[in-house]
Amino acid sequence: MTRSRPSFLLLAVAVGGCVHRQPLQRRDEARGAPAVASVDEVPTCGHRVVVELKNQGRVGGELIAADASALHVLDGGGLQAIAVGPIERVTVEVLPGHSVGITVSTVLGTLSTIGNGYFLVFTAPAWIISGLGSGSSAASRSSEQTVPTDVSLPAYARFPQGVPPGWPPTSAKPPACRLVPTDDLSAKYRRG
Amino acid sequence: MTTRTWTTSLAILAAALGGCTDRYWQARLFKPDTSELKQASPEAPFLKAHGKDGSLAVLRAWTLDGAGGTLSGDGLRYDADRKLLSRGQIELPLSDLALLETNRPESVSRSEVAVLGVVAGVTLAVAALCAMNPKACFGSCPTFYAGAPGDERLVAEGFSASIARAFEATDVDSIDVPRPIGSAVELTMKNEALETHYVRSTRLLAVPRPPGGRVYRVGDRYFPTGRELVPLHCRGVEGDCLADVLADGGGEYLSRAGATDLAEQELIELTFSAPAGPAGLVIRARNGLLNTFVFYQGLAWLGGKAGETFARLETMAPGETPAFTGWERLLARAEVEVWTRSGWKVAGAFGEIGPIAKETQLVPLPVDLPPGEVKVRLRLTRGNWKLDRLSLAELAGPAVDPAVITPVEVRRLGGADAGALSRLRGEGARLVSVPGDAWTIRFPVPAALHDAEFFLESRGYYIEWMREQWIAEEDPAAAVALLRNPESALRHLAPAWKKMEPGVEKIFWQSRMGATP
Repeated sequence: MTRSRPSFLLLAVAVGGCVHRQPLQRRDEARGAPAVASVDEVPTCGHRVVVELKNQGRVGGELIAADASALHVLDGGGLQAIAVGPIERVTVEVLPGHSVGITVSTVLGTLSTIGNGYFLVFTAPAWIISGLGSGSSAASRSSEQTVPTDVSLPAYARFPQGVPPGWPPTSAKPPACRLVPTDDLSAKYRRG
Repeated sequence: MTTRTWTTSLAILAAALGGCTDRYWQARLFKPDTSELKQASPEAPFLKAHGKDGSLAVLRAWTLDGAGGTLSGDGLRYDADRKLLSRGQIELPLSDLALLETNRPESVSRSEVAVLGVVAGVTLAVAALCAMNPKACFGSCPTFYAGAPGDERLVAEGFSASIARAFEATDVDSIDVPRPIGSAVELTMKNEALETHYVRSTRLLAVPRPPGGRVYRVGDRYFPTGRELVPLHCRGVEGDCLADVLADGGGEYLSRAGATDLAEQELIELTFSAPAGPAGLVIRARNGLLNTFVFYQGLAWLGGKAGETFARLETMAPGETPAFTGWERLLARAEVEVWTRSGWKVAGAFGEIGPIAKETQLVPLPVDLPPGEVKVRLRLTRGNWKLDRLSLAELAGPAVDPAVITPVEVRRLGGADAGALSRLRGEGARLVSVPGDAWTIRFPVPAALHDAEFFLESRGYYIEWMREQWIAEEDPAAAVALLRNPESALRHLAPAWKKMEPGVEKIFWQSRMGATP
């Protein structure tokens, strides 16, 4: 028998709601500890963005460039130049969301509590609450919202200097690029 | 490793797949001229040179020539589509560059992995405990709690012996509610087990206490009592038990079951100072886990036929259902004997089923006892009883009829539940609960009963859910033998119980995730 548990949902929302969104910037504030990486790992493409329009439309894809008049986003249909005026907000994925991993973990973890005897009463909600809370926390931490005129946006683009002349060639659709962050599991921003 | 344990492990693996940290790239942009480049952080291990044509060079070590016109270093070169063009030493005229960018990798901890890891660890631990010993993860029938949220304490478990509709019964438990009593007593009824509960009614029974005294239940009679005498001596099969049975002494007497026969009896001998008049033995006790183990073993032996068996029980007319007299005598009763002028005589019995909540009852003693110290002994099945209070209470008068209080409000998830209220008042169908359900029941208490002794009367039955581990033990012949010949069954089960007995209490209570009563 399935029973709704609004209190769990409220808690999860509350947990998610407590997560603070950081302002969009890549320059000054350290987010973590210094790490070691190879030159091959250095990102060469733009971050995933979702551009929400004032008319309820949205475009999602790689941020190619951001200038004073338009955002250039590469989605499944090709390069889109979106004028700044009609844009409501821009969401930039700065870290992997891990939405699929967390969802899989939560579902498997919840199912696994069937083997806990009557302690399932405690362990199943614990998985659901922590899964929802973690998902909400990770989603909130992984993305940042800003306005289209934010001067920090170019730092997240493939071409921070602007779209280079002649690119992309009119005869060809630009090939897919390994987006930043490299979260192959997450499909959150691939809808556009 | 069981399927469930594998599932938990997969969940942990899935959580860990993404690693415990994420990579974040801090970036800083510069114009491609000498003065700007000199501001590039020496801590940044990578320099990205964005070409005017959209190409990109990623350098891990770079230098600017003396004239400041050429940037060189070791790294990778990409075209505008980010196709890798070359690897190795790269030289770039600054005039070809549109922008420079330093990159510094950082590791950002993923707190959600730790959170899910802790939950997964707990789940695995519980699963391992239950897999190790499935009958250590017991159920407990409807449980009743009193007290404010966060400070609740278990006060009763209802109709534990009513394992099918055919055995629906009324159960009365003494309850120790927080005092002082306000205008009402509120009890929270929970389903914390893998069971379906069918609750016909709940009522509160209240009997005013005599000044300085208590009221104890003897079957369906309620006796006011006065002075209480603690035992002078207590001796059981395990030795001196006095410290364990003194009220509020913090101890609890539990002997070990018979090595070859779980029906083996023991005697606990007590002596008291002579009371001033008629008296009774006050016993506060609960079951160990032995009788619950036997019950679940019976279900395990029924295995896949448990549903059919219980369906047959449902269709039996009253009086046709099997009597469990032998079982009741062995695992649900503790007899009280007293030394009289004509030797030891049975004075009565303490009867209760349930391993969690403590129940207090009175066994009145005969009035024509020999002068001097009163000698009492309890005859009970070894390893089946936990005793934490034995005293001799002087009766303060004849039995008193209790006031009956029906609930006036039932709340669920913070809101009034009129349907549940109606059902718990005995109006209409039974209230059905499944694991996780909880209702708070409000009983109004008039001022005249603020110092009363309270008893919870609950009527209903419950259906135990079968566990996957039990199905594997299906043995219908053993189940029939268990029902027909308790003595033989208890001998047969002795090795299995003795194997798990040393650790079963620890597993049960340590793996319990609620408050330990």
